[in-house]
Amino acid sequence: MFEVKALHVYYGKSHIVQGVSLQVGRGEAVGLVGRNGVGKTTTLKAIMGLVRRTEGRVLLGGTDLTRLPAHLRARRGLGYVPEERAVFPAMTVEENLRIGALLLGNVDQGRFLETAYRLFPILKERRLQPAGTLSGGQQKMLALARGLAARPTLLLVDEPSEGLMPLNVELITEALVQATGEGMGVLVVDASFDLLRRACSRLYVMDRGVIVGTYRPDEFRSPDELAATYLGVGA
Amino acid sequence: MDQVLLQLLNGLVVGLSLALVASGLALIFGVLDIVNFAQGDFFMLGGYVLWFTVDRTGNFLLGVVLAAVVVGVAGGLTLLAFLWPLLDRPHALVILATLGLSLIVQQEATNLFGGATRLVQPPIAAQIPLGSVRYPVYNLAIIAAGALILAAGYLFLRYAKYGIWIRAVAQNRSMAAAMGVPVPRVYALAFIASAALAAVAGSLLAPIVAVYPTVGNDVILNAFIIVVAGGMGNFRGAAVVSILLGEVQALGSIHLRPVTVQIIALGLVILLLIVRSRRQSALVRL
Amino acid sequence: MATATTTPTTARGTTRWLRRLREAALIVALVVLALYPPLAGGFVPQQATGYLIYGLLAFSVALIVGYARLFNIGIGATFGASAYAVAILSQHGVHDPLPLLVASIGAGLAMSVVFAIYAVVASGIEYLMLTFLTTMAMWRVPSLAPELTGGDNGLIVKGGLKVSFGLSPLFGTGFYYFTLGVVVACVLLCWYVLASQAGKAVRAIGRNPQRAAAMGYHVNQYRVALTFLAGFVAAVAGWLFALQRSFVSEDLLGLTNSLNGLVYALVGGVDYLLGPFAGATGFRYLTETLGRYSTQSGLYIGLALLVVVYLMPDGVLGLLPTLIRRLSGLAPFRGRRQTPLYSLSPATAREQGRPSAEGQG
Repeated sequence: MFEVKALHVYYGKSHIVQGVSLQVGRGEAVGLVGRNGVGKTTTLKAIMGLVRRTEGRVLLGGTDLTRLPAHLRARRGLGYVPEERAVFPAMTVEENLRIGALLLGNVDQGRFLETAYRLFPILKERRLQPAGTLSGGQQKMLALARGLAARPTLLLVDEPSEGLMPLNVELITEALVQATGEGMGVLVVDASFDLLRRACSRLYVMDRGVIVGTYRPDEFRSPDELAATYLGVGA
Repeated sequence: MDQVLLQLLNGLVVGLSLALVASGLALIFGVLDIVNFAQGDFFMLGGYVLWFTVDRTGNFLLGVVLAAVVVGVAGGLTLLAFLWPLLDRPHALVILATLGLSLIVQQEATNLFGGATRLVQPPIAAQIPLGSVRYPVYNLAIIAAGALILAAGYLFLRYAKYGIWIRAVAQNRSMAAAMGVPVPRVYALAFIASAALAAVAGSLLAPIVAVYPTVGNDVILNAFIIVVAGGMGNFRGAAVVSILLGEVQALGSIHLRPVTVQIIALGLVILLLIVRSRRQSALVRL
Repeated sequence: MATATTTPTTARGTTRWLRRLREAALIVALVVLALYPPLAGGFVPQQATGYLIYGLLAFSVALIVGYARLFNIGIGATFGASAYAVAILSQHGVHDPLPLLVASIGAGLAMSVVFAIYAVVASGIEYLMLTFLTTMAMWRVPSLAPELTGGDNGLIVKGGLKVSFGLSPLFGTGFYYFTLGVVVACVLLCWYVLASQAGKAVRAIGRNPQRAAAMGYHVNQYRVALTFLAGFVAAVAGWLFALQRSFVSEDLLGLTNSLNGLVYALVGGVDYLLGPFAGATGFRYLTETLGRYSTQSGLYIGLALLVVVYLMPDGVLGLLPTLIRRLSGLAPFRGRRQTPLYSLSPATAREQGRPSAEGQG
């Protein structure tokens, strides 16, 4: 359903992503793990089309997205929830959500908002507050809600659980599980063992710009075992 | 007392037309972090389009509309063409490019139209008694038109789809793109709207300030003062400060020479900017 | 002699060769400057004096914009303040050259205090706007007190030849050599400062202020110091200008003059000692020989800016080394500079999430 072939990404003189290939199936959540700085965020950004110098191909549901700019990829069903600076700070929570709805054209905005508020009730409480005044964790939930409510074919999510209370990590894990249950594909970069084990059917391990292994989350009995795969590699 | 009323109204006239120019600047700055030194020249070209139209057809309203459309589209697309290759490059290059553009446009305008000042008659010659002075109705019309345009602009930014998109791109460009906002189209729209705003101001003010190649220079100075004082990307702030500045300059001119008022205004804005910068210096800035 | 041998040493060889080339160019330039104008006779020495003075102005801009990466478009205010100091004092009977020199440097440094304040409290676009507003304000100042400053008529420098140490700016080569000497002295002084540890610190701060601060540099102190150095150089240029032209006008203080300095520096290349001088000479010569300098100056400056922006961000003098490096494979053809020359930090600040979107659109 979704495939990335031989992705290379360059920032200035650095060759950050050096040939990454991966697949995500319908209704499947796949995790991307690794140490800091190996290129996970860059991979997601490149898939979304937010990075200039890339090589390789990105295919979604048979459509080749490679030549398309980011906003056209979004319209073809690719969603993105970045790690930071994901919201429009001067707009209210509700306005942020409405922009997500605008993407879907003439869809019922009310339904869109309803879905988002159901996922994360705290957002409803603060719907008229400027998004920039929310806490970091709440902003992440807003961004995730907005991304999910748009029902993309594939959602790219970068570190959704980072900085969140365990309660909220559970909330977003459930949201991801629900989304995949409805047929959405998810590619998620995260470090939370619970989230990965609960939501993902496969894990890609990334090191120094390349994928070094594929695992099933239930192969690991503890976070340390998982960490060992990418901390031990090339150490 | 009547002097005060007179200047109060004059201040509004000047302030609102300044607001049109400045809000155009604020729009581009908000969306693109671009300081457009050629904005005053769109004002000037708007005046020339008006003069030309009135000269040929006698229709003032047509002149204003043409000014908005012709200068808006031509100016906006020119800006886009010149600035597109620079968008990923350091901002100073953009500033230098618009500076260069402005100098060229002014020079060519002088070559084309001659340096002579063109006069345009206001479409409404009547005057209305206010207190013991007689105030031109046309000026009141400018006040109304200016206020209307600004209000429409504000509403557009708040509620219209493209208005929301402009704000989104201004606040978080990459996220906007990732949410399907057609960023290049938004840029184009921002440029065109900004040029059109300046052109409308130039055409409306033509009967008052006359039309000549460097008429944009004073305007651009004030416009920059406003944009800086109002907070660089802030449409509403620019409008408010414009009116304030217009009033300060108009009322100040009752007792002080224009030069003095200008320097005072500049000095105040410099202080304001310093104070604001200091307050923000606690944050990441270095 | 450095020779470009085969592969691993080619890079080093080329760089060394470039450096030798650069040193040779400096010496050649000095010799040419010393010998050519007097030998050419006629009005050449006077013309060359003008080029040197504007080159010095451009040099001060190069220091602050290119070296310290503070985007200042108001150096004209410093230049003009210093020139006006000479004129005003000379109108009040001060004709001794040394007091005039001291006063003009003082005026320039006083103006630099303002820019130093800006350097501390603002950066990026805000700094740019502050310098812009300042030069516009200063442009109007003479009209505030026309009795003192001549208003928009300008002011004559009185005192005859006494003010310029007895040298005539209009005849002979004495004044030319005097100017050349002063300019060389200034450039050497700056070169000495820049080559020192302090100078390297300034460059590091210019390239990456956050990292420099993290390494313990007092960013503000260095910026202030460099602002004063650049102000000093601009003041010297203003002093020389007043002596040469014997006339000052408010245009010296305003945006056009500041932009002149900037354009000359950019066109010539801010990274090279000779760049500003080359830029000033070339640009002014071009506009003067094209004959319609006084009517078309805006057009030429505008075109020059565009050419620099799109084709030669490194200036004319930057073309040759870049070309050499590209031909020898050291730099990619499409490559950009490692660190952008003219970055303005609020853009970076925005990326970092600083709340600069005040209000809604």
